[in-house]
Amino acid sequence: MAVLDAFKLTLSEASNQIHENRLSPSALLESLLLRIDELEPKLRVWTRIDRDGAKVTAEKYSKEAMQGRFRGPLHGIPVGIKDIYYTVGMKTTAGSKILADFVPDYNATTITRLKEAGAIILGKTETTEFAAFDPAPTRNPWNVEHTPGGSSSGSAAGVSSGMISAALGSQTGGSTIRPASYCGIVGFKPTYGRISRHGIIPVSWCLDHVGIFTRTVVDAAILLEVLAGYDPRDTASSNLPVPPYRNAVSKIGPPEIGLLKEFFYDMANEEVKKNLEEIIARLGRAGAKVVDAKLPESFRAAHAAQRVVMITEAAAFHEETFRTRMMDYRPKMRGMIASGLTVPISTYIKAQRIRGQFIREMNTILGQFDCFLMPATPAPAPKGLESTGDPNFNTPWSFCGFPTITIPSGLSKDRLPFGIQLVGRPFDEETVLRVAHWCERMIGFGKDPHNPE
Amino acid sequence: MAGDLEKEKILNRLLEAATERWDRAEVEKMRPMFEMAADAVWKVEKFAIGPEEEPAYPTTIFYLGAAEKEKRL
Repeated sequence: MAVLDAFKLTLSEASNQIHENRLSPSALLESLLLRIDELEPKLRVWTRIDRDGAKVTAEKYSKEAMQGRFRGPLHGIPVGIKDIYYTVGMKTTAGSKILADFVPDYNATTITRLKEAGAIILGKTETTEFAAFDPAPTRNPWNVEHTPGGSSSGSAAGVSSGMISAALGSQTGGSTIRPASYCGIVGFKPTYGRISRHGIIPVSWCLDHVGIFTRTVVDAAILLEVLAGYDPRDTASSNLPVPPYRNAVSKIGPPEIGLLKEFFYDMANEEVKKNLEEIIARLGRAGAKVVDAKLPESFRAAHAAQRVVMITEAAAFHEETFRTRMMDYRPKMRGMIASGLTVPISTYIKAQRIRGQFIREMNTILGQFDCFLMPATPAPAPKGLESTGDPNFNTPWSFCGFPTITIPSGLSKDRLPFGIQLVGRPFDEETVLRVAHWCERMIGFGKDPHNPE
Repeated sequence: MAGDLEKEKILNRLLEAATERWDRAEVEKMRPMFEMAADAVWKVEKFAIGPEEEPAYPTTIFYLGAAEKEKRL
């Protein structure tokens, strides 16, 4: 492969080549910057790119690699960061006028961990305003007239188009799984509390998760291993041990899967249902046991309760700023905060009680399976940029905090990607990754970046 | 339908609370988001839940995760 084609490499391929001194971090960066120069005007992935800083770091890491010194598994790998993560010296605007000039003076814990593992922070990717509903300008690499999904719009489109092999996003409703599925890549939301949220601008404290975007499941496992672990600065951070996730994907075999038809089949369009049926047949032929699973009673209220928690907590976070700068918020965000400020406290508490019941009931049902399976979205990416699509297939899993992953599963007649979604037990990311890696192999969608037409 | 009436009542309740804080015309512009909020509030309020059910705390999920791991060890 010519050095200028290095943008086609997945994270682990690039990392292996760097560790074997077959590729330098500088050459990888150069290839990615050329790709960005070519596609950015069409796709609008970035809010800002730290070209000079990245070049200096890449040169330094190239010299270290030549001397056989490696900082970690991400040595010399450029990554994109959703513009809600605190990055020292780099503007963090959350896609909003409100934070137009905000430059953090500390790094989010995740940024520190990425840097310690050798990653190069290439820049900040586009987000919907405050990771909520008002869309980013980003376009879908598979068809620029379609949304890439949101809220982590830039991170998904950047990984899909080969501008980067990995990026961070977030998920409060469907902001990682949905854009990853719309853009034909892997999107991974680990368990609530598994990765620190310290230094990430919140939407909703009880629902916010870090999201990972890559083009393979193995790459997602590598990133999780770097990012996971206890952080005393995040009150929700778990102190459960972090297993070696890369080992999980090396021991794969046919899984036992619970198929969730109820609700998901009713809401999915015909093409999505047909794709899922084909995937189930293929997985079954390969040895997977796919059994119908039944949703618990509390699922009926999960979407509504998720919304109540989200808008009430978002309103609480923004209340003070909203008093003086209401009109500086974009319309949907303004409406979300205003409506959230009027939700009765007893309703918020009841929504949290429903969450408690939902977590317990889902965990009991999941005990019988390795994972649940369902489509990642009801339909492929919708046309237009005014909406980021329907998050209803993802919000229940943000609500209960269970780990979930999407992998691409085919193309629609309009050549837009479909994705399947797997949901696992809390803090059992190993099984989720193992099953996802097995499914990825059986489906064989491919890992090359997509070339926008 | 009874459900629609209840939802309408909740919507009016939320809009009324909003107009105590902001100009009515401004509140009307935000009506679609209030309609979504009212629908969610209605669904949450009408959902029957056991008296023993407490709000979820972060520890809820940690406990489940730890218990699950112990079982499998």
